[in-house]
Amino acid sequence: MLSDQALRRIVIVGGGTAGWMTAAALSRITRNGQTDLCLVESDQIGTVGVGEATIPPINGFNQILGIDENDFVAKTQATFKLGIEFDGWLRPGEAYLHPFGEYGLDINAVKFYQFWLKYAASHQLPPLDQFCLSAVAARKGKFLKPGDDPRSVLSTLAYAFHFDAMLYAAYLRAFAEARGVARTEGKVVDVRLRAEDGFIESIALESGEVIEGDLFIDCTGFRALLIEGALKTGYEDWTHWLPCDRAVTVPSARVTDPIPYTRAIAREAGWQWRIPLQHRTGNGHVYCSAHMSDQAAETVLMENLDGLATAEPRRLRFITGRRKQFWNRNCVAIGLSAGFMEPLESTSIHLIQAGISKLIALMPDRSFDPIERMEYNRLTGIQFEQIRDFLILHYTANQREGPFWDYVRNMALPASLEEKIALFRSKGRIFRFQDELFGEANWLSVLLGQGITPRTWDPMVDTMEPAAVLGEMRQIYDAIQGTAERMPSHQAYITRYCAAPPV
Amino acid sequence: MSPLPASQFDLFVVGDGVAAWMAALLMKRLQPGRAIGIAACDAAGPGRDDPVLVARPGFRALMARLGISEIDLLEQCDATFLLGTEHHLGGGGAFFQGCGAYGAPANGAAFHHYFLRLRTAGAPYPYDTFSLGAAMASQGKFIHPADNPRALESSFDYGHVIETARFRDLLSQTALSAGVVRTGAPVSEAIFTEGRIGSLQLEDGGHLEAGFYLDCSGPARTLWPDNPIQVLGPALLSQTARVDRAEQGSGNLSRALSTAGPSGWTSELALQSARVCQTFELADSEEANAHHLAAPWAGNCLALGRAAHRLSPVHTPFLALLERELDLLSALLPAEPGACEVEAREYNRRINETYARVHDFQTLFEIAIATRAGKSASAPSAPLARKLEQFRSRGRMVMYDEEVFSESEWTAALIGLGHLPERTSPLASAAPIAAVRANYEKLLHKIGQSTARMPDQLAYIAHMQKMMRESGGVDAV
Ligand SMILES: Cc1cc2nc3c(=O)[nH]c(=O)nc-3n(C[C@H](O)[C@H](O)[C@H](O)COP(=O)(O)OP(=O)(O)OC[C@H]3O[C@@H](n4cnc5c(N)ncnc54)[C@H](O)[C@@H]3O)c2cc1C
Repeated sequence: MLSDQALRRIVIVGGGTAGWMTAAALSRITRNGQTDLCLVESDQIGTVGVGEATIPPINGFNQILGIDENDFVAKTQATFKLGIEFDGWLRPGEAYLHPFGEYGLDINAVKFYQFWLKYAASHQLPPLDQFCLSAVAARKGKFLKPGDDPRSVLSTLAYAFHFDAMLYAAYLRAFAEARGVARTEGKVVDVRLRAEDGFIESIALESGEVIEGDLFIDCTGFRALLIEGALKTGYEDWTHWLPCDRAVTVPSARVTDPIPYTRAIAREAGWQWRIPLQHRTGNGHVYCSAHMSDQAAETVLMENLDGLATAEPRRLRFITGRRKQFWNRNCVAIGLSAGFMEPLESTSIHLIQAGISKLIALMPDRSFDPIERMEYNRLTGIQFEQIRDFLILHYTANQREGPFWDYVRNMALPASLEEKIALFRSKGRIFRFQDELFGEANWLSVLLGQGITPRTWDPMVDTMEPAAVLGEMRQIYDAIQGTAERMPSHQAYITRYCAAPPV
Repeated sequence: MSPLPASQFDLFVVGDGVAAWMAALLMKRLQPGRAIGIAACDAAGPGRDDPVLVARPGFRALMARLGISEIDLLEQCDATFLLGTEHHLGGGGAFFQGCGAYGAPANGAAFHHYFLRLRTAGAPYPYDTFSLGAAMASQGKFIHPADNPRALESSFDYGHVIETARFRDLLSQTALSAGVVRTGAPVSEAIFTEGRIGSLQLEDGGHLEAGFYLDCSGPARTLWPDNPIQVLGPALLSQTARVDRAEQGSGNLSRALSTAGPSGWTSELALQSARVCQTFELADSEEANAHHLAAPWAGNCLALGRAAHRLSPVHTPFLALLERELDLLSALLPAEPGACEVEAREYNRRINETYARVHDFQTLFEIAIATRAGKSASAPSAPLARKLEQFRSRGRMVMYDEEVFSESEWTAALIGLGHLPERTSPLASAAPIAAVRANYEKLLHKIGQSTARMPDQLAYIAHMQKMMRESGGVDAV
């Protein structure tokens, strides 16, 4: 049912990951002959060039687009990601994994981890993550795609990717252009607003070209050229909860076979990431400028590479927070222009994807009914806040020393997070809100990893016969360990199915 | 655990109806080692329970935890399998509201977008013809859903219609034999110390004490009569319904019927041996507000069932709510009754949202009834207004946390009540209409074939019972 009010033109400004993901996805719905889709980007400005680790929902995005996984992995120098290792976040020298996928199997409708909480100490059970296939495979450097059969242990595996950000944008660009998206190279120098309602009427390029549109998607990154520059939407600053505000990044040479997980290593005033790709390692140091100078941060990074740096380090600044409205008038901000949270859980690309699917569900027509905008802003706001809470959790319960870690340990928390932690402390309960990105297993790994332990377990555990329960736990353990053992190594899987051409 | 004196319990339930006995039994099953007591209270007076209860699909899991099998329900409570409700709106309009699937999504868009495209293109099929559950219900057929998620026969779900009095008896017998202790004298009131219940005063002058109390005394709220309430809005239909029982002939057992009259609503529910008709009138006074306790869990006392809420009788939501209440309680079960503020807050937050979402669903129907009767209807709550608005503008279904009614029921109800979207999802416009039509006509054909093969529900129940007797097992279906 197409209304005569259908949008005539959607203009995407910006050709980074956000711009090209949006273009690729919207090309599916603009092939109706009524709506024309174009993208403007400036080679002179370039992209932020980071954003290389993802989380499992990206598979849904690829599937909807009909992307062939092996082709995509080979062309973006990608590797597989089974989780994130947090090294030194609780105390220096201790590490835990946030694996994708579930822990064990429920027994009599009681969560597996509840049994583990009861028996771990008294029966010297292995650590909880030894009951999670993604975690066991990650530690062993193995990979295989999850199986379809829900009865098989292999179906509990979940994975995402690490990829080269520049190659990813290029890949999506080829995809979108092949589906009719017109690309214009040029720098936007002016944004013109309609006098009567302040809607964006057109953008003007340095060349003098003027591009009109009905809907504008702001994918201009931190610049936020349309949503902030032109529309002055306002920004909510969350630095008091997530105080890191700078990053320095550098690629380094590949030294070993890539591991199938991201590493996040706590540092004096922030943390360092290590992302293994097929051809190189991506590195970065996220830090708080109030507690560390740019030069010191760069030194920390350069002294902690596992291979030789292959380029000059790059410095970036950001303010953690969100745009007060993600959709304002006829402009929707997607990507860094919408807001930013540090890449601790690789959530930015997911927020791009989530923004796009909400936009498709709420696609306006030229009448721009405010209910579309309000609903988009409501849902996106909830999602930003849920992710924010999950990130803060990584900091709040640390037992590290130093002024930065003291600050984050003592700061006041959002009430929503306080309540979640209190429920967990009481009896290990975790409730997921509808559509919440991070579910029970995700929260559990970080809660336990950060040393937040429940006072006791679910009382229902006590009603079950210990010998039977322990026997079942043993079986689950054996099945997981056996399956992981039989999986091919991560590198062997890549070599067999999706090796990138040598660079 | 050392045995407690006869007048001391870990947990004490006040009430004598389905809520009370089910709560007592569940708590005993979850914590067999604890002393759980129960007593009636005279203040509750004669029960105003519905003559029949409607269970939703999730009820099966609860029954399994209670140790009550489907066969028990069929044999001892005159229960039937319920696939959904057929609504007759008057003037020939009718639709089916079931928990199962309608059609199938394609290219990332829900089925109803395709349905609307088909409709615009002149295809003559009502929305519910695309639901296997609706086809089965209209012909009184039943089988259990298939396990294989790819089979068409896995696309429906079912609940039950249950005779209240017999169900209550089954629950109480089971609870007593599981070790729940019934004390003799009824409870007259609770005695408070510092905002918590310290002990219960009994009619015979005695006292008893427990760590935690469940108030299942119905509207009397014996334990905490002045616990403040929160109003949801006017409940249009009066609670005092007329009930008619008729012998069950060879009628259709698989569906409920809801028929709108000039100034009210008639519902017809099928037991195996009888059909129960209830007529609800539009209430005249504003006094009939739908409400619930602002804090159903306060201190060491939790109110369940009609002690916690009073909602409109539309859709007979009592059992569905009880199921939610008990699920939440068992998820938040207090190990030490002394320290459960966090649990109580979480319980109240979630259950109050549940009450409000059920009230929204009822409001949808009450608006339709009131509009027919030429009365002014209450304004929808903000979440319901948003849902209506989003659906009308683009066929997008907004679902909240703590919904009881499923997305497919909401969609069927909105379409059935005439809230048709003005536009459809752009994702649904990719395939040419001829291909869409061919695809869904194939589904209709399969639904027809599948339904034709199925037995009538009465025959199916007889078959189940025969299998049971032959195998002597409980799970022999
Ligand atoms: C340090 C750091 C680490 C990160 N790590 C991760 C991670 O591991 N995982 C993850 O999911 N995300 C990560 N992110 C976030 C991720 O990088 C971004 O979400 C993603 O790259 C999208 O960026 P973007 O497309 O919005 O902006 P950009 O890449 O900055 O693109 C902006 C585009 O706008 C164009 N443009 C700007 N101004 C104009 C103009 N005037 N005229 C024309 N064109 C213009 C530019 O040319 C460019 O094409 C990280 C971010 C940072 C800062």
